[in-house]
Amino acid sequence: MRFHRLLCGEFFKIRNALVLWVVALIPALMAVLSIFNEYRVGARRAAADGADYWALFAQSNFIFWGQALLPVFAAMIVTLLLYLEHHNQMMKVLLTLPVRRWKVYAAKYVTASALLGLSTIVLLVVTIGGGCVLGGLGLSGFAATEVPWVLLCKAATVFWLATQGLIAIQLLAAWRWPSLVVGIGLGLCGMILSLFAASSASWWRVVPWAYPVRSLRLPEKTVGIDPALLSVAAAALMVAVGLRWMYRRDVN
Amino acid sequence: MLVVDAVSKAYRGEPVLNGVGLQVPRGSIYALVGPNGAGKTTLLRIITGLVRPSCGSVSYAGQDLSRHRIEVLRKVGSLIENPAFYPHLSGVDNLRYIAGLLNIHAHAVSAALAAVGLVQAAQRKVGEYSLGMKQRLGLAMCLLREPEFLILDEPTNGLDPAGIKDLRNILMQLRARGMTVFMTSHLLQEVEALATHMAVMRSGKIVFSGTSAQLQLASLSRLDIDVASEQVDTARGLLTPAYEVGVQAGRLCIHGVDAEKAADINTLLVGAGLRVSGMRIHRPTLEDLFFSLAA
Repeated sequence: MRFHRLLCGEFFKIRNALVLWVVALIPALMAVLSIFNEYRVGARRAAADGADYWALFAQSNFIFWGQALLPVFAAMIVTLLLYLEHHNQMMKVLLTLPVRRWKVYAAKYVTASALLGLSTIVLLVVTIGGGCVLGGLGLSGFAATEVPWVLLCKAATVFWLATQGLIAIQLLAAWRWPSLVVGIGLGLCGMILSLFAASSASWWRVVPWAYPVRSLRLPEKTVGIDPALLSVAAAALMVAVGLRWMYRRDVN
Repeated sequence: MLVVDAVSKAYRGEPVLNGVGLQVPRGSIYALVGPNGAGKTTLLRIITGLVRPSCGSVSYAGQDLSRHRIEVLRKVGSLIENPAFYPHLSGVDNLRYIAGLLNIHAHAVSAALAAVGLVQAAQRKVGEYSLGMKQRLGLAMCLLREPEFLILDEPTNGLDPAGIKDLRNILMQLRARGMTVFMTSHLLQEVEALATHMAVMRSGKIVFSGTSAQLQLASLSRLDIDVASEQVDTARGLLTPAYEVGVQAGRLCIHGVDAEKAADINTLLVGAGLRVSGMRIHRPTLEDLFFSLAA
């Protein structure tokens, strides 16, 4: 069975499911709220000279998203994806088809990663749209400068790469423990850990939930290891562990 | 042919299957019966590759399942335990999903739905299906790939009498097309009507396997002979060299005797001047056999 068929199958079965709405609406809602906040704060900040409104606005949006919501959001998305199989006992159907187990696992990972990528795009689009609206509302910092497309797209891409590690961890947990409580509980623990680790000079390296926020730091503040690269490496390791476990497991 | 060779399985040191061996001939309907906890579903999980045996092997048409998993599973359609689907999708979409994965033409989806009589309900969400409809849809999912081997776990569960009859007809048609069906069941009447071969499982072991006719023979049908009470000992003495004869309520009882042997016994007794007032061969039902083997 070709891998793309499994991927198409993953999107076929979630096309009418709640998970797509969650992916689109939660980051959009968060970004809209931050637009209102920026309107309030930005008006006070208007007198300050030289402020890079776009960078500050995007950074505050992504940091808030990465720190406060992303760990639980990612946990919810990944756990729901697997819950669809566990709860409906579809795992045994999938694994009695002539398909290699690693492909089933990898398809889930790619789907989860794509959904998190989609949520990052939604966040980016609403952020840019919000900046334009704020400019239209008279915040001169937004109105006076061009949208920094390259900077924002690059930041969003790095941010998404930095989420790969936590996606892989959540995926392994969701395969191993079908309960929603375990998956979302792990995400909550990750969020709490990242609150402390993200601002630490060294501890952030051992907390994959902190990588997205660290990836948004200015280059001079991120000394040594790149969080996005570290996240991709952590994802590769966790996926390898997951595939090994998947290959050996009995499906009861 | 599906061959299960000396398969054992233990969970945390607790044996569930113990040296199970079966040979399922091509084109047969093979029923595996046994009480709850006998290990039937574990065996089905092993022969569908969901669970690895602790030792032993499973092969389909000479191909070992553990070494040629993908090639073997291409030939196998299976329905393990309850039929499973995505309840938020319609019946037809559930089949389309599987068809998409396996690169099966859309025409096969309609054909499978028609084969199980679900065309009318195809657009309804599976969450609204009754258990019987889910069983049919599960069968349709198996039939999508036109498998050589069909493995069904309690396929009559949740079906009403009409549904059971329909399923029986479908399985008969599939067998006529050359498909091999391996199924478990608790409904012994169903098995009796459908299966060409049977195995009885107890505590992780196969206690009988063979054709249904062999099972009837193996069941040790019992010949009851009525003779005059004063001639019972004489008759017993005459038969003892050749048969193991018991006496119950003044009546001679001999196990494992068919009609031909019964005629020989009658000739022997009458020829010796004994008055035989009645002879009956007691053939136990499949249910009797099942309980005597599984007890």
